Amino acid sequence: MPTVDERLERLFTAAAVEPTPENVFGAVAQKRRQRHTRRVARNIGAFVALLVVLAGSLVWLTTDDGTQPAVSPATRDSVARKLGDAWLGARPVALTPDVGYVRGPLIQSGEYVALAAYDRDGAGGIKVPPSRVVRIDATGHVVDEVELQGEILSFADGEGARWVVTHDADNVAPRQYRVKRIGPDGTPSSNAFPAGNEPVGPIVAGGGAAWVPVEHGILRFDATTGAYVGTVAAADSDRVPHLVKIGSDVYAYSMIGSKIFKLDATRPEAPTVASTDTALLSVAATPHGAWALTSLGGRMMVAPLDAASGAIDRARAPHLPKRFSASDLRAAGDTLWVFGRLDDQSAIVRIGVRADGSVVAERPVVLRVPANSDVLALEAHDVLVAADGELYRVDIR
Amino acid sequence: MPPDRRALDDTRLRSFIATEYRKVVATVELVCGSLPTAEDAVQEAMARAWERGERGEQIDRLPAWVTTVALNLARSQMRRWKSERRARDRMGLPGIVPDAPAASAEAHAVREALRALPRRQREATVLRYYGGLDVEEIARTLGISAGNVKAVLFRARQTLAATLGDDADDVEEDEHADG
Repeated sequence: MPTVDERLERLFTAAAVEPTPENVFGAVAQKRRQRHTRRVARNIGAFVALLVVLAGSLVWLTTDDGTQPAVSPATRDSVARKLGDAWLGARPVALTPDVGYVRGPLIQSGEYVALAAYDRDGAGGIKVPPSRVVRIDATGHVVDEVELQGEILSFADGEGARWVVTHDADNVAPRQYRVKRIGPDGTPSSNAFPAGNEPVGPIVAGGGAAWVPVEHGILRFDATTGAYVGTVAAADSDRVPHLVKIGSDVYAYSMIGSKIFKLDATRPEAPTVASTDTALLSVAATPHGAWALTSLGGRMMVAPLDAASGAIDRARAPHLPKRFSASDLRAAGDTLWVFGRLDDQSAIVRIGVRADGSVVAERPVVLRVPANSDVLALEAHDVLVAADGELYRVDIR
Repeated sequence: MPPDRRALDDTRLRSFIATEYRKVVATVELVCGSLPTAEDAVQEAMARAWERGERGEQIDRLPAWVTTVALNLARSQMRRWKSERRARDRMGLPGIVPDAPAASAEAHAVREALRALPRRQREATVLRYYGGLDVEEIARTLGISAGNVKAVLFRARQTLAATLGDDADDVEEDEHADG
């Protein structure tokens, strides 16, 4: 006679489902990538907020004419930077003329900044279509805008055109993604992604084509027409590919992997894959070369990277501040920006790269930005943040 | 078995998927009643474990850690569903019902009996009778004391025995036998 325990064990076993572990590894890898992306976005947002607050406060202290506040009040959810124990609100950038609801992505586009803009829906959100790619100058003056139809995911400049990745405005699954090629005359042409592909990182133009990383490879789009040409397999099928433009070349590397190779639309043969001796978390390039965010002995470091050979020059790695945990690396001109966390708060570290190759890491700056913000760190000590439909500027000096 | 103190990497993760994944998903599914929710919660927990491994942090007992995190995630998801269902009810909209796997009459009865249990009893019971965990392991997984686990299991077994047509006296005998 079975005991109650034995009966319950048998009944529970019979009632249990039998899940199918198909592509579980891929699903977990995708969740990890999404978590990384969200964390980076949070860090960037917080960083930008902090920068904006500091810049605004400094400007207010030095140039305010007394007629109106120059700095937004640092409310709990506003863009702000930490200065001592205080949070300093960010300075809004007034765009002229008004382009509507401002949103990321933000990129440096030559001497201008490119951003996405939408019509406001009257309830704090946006209406799509249309969408607009807007370029502004340093004063917030709108230089030009190009109207598109879908929601804008990423921008790039290169190969004689501007490039935009969008997805169609309807939310019918599976989503249809497109590459929009904007020619020198401002006319966009639309080119659909091959079915079943969705971008996992920003578009990059160089090496004779425009490239978009997807789950297991890199989509190639023709530099002249923008049409989809083919897919280059990722070097490591288990890793999400990321792209970085180094000079006029584009390299693909496997995130948290150790493989990197050049994408070249002019060479039909398989690319030569270089291996690094440690995992690459992020790669960025200044005009003088590439840099990798990696780790050694459990400590994060930013070090020069020879993308062709995979060699990492640890001797030239600047010391990152203590207690700063880095998660992403970006470049703006000769400046490297490291995004991460300091004492569990989003923070950024500016690294100046001199012409002789020497580097100096500045003190980390703690930032606060709302969720879903986008942050663009500029070459000097400025950071732009697109948050809640507005554009803010943070000075982190 | 001594805890596996290796940092989580691809190899260990693939090994976990091959050997433990089905059991952990089925455990969470029995608790929450939705296979997609259970799979999503377990995969999210694995992604978090992977991140910890990349940061150099060690997880001693990966199956137990993933189970604990996945149960927490599934619990949050079920709370959201309840809130959404209440809101839809208020608005007179059709409800969203978590999908339930096809089951035999006996399995259906077990699932109904589990659904009727309070959450803590349901979790402890599934971990004990499907997961095969002992009282100490259940206490660690659920973050409660061993004594509390025994009490919860005792009450759950009484309810289940009655619901599933057993004799409550047997339950008490078994409980005494457990010490």
